[in-house]
Amino acid sequence: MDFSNLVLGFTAILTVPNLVASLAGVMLGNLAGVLPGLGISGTVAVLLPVSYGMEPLTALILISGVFAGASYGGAITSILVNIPGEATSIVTTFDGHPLAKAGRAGLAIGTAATASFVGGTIGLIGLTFFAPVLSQAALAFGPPEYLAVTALGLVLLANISGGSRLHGYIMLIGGVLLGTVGLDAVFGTTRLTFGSTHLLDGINFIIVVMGVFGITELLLTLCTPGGDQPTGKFSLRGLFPARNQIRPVAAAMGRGGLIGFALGLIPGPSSTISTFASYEVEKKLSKDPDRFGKGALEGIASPEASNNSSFYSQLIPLLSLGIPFSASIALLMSAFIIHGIRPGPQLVVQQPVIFWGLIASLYLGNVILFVLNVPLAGMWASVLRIRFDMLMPVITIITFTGAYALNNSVFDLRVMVVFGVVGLIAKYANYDMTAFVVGLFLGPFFEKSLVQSMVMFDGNMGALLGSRPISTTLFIVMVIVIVAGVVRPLVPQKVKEIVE
Amino acid sequence: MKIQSVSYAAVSLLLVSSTLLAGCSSGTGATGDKSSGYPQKDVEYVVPFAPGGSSDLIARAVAKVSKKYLKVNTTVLNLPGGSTSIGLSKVINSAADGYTIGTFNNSGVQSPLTIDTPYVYYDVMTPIAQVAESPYVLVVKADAPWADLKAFAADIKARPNKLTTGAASAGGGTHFPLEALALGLGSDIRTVIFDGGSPAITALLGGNVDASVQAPADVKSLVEAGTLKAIATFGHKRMSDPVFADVPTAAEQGFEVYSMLWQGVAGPAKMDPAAVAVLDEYIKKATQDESVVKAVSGAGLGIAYLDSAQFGEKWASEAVYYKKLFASLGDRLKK
Repeated sequence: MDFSNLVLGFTAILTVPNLVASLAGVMLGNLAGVLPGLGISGTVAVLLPVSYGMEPLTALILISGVFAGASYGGAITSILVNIPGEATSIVTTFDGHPLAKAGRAGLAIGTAATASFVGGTIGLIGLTFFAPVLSQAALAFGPPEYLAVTALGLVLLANISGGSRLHGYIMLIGGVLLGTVGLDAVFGTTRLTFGSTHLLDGINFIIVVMGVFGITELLLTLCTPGGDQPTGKFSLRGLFPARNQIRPVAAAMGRGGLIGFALGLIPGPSSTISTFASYEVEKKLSKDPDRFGKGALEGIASPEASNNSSFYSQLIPLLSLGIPFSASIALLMSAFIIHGIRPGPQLVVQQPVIFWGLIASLYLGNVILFVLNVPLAGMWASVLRIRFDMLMPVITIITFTGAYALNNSVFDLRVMVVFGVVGLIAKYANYDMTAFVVGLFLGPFFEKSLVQSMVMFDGNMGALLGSRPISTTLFIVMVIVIVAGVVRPLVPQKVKEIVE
Repeated sequence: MKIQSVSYAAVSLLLVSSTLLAGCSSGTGATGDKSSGYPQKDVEYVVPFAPGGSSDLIARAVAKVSKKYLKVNTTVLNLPGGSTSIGLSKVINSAADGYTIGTFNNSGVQSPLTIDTPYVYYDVMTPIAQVAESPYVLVVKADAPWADLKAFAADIKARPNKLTTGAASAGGGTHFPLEALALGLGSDIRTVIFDGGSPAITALLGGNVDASVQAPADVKSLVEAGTLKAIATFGHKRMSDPVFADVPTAAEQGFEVYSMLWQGVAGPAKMDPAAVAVLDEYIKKATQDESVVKAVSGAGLGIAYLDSAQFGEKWASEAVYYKKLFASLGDRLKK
């Protein structure tokens, strides 16, 4: 491996403005990640005009730092109050919030921060040494492959949070149906909008997530007399896992980092998909899957690592092809363009200092974030010591402000409240909203890639399966999963015992 | 109070100019002889797209020089969604006093003709000025067998409904050019619709589609690197950008198909002409400002200032062109 490029990069960033930009970027990003709704795009929109006067490298260090920081911070509100600030931290609520309720928020946040660091490091190493090769591999992923991935995802993730399989599929289908609201991207027709302009763009996914997780949680607290304020003392020791947990949790971080890196190369919102996928993998690998959803550290470690790792692998197509594979990366690309730098195959050749300087700053940012976040875990955890009747109004205000800031839309606030109530009803009826959210997220991508694939193959599914080995393999896996799900309960207990 | 302020306005209107026939809104709420002076307060500039896109970059650059040329601040408000209908509706429903303006681009003429929009934007809005424009370009992979649009068109004709193209959105400027071309050839091409230019480029590079019509900014680095080749532009004349300067227009190659991407500023219906004139002058000066020129070229467009009247004529003539074109394409844009 050739380290001279990286040395060049580190030399470039060792100036006062660049170091300050790195620190400021990751800290602002971290804060943006913590505040629900006020995500990356809002922060970057504010910073872009500020960065006009800066040197290009300094500006890029600042803006990309926001991205790195946000993927650290997203876990905090997921864990403390069950409100995922970004789509990528939904999964972190599954086990993070139960831990917080048990008075171990510090442990959950500390694990998330460490996992972010491990995942980030894995992603950065991949970015540094394999970028050009991997960007070509990523292109093999077209609409037919995306169709297979989303189909498999829908089948596998319906039951992500355990519980009744039937309930899971009902909620999943509900989510997919809700995802069809709005202007259809392929045919340009409006569906289920009832003449409302606000519904033209569909129901905003992150608003629904804030509703069914955050608002539902607030309502639940209201409906529980006495509240469920976590008890127990907060000590530094509480931040660290028990000795026998360290090995499995570290392994989960490694797996999450690798899954995130691989999936991040896929066009589309692969960061979010990678968090769901890595959670599912941990659950399947675990000897004791029942712990998941009740505070399993692996359930935090793996998705948080994959989330951070996937950010860096998403930079690969951006830096080496000049194509943003997701909407948030497109925003980062516009920061390049404002400063007259056009990411693409020529970037590393024509402007090696910018290219390697940026990568070096990401290494630096990752370390800064780790150093900042581990001690802060205790501070964040102690937020929950505030009496709930004082804390909850503050959280409510922050949640509403964040939801409004997303699109400057009052309509979004109504949607959020409606889904908060829906989430509460579902909770009492013992239906889990997670599958609903999965359906709402994957449904539109499934539909889009289905229509695209059908146009590509002129409606001939056989031709698609015949010429696309990746998607054919994924479809076969999907069929096996479905058949196994149907057949397994029919097999008598005796036979199962003999087989095992 | 209301009568008083209206009378102030009427008096001041008479005093200042006899050409101001349309509105008396400029004086409402203000006092004395200041009442005629637009602008009195900050202007809100609605961008119907998310932050970071070319529309946003250009709007922000223009807004940034407003203190210099308009004497007040202009704040950018991003209202994305609903294929620009949310942002444009906000402008349309604002007071026509010049304090709320918005980005208006080619989709403001095209989308009312192809999708269900709440307003026919080009009919109900007041043109202020055009800022920038650029033609769309047709790109194929560098190793593709077609050297120019003629060869590509011959192949479309020889193999109906076999070639595929990736479009950035349904019915827009990246969709209709090749459908119109295929229609003219009496043949057919399959258009795969993506959500945005980038996914379409990804599909082109991965060999999932054969060609794609793109905004030049999105493919410039790939053309420069020799990964993609541009075989036609859909403008009226060749582009000045050195990367695309040698690419002949579709018309040069014998195909009368045009697709331009342009962007300007518009306000609500029946805007006060005095405010329009002030804003037009500000945009004119802004398009000559070095920082705006740089931002526009960074966003992949070229400065192309048109005044309010010219911009309005452009809306009208493009509406006529697209109405005819889309009618002839019929179901081709809806498959």
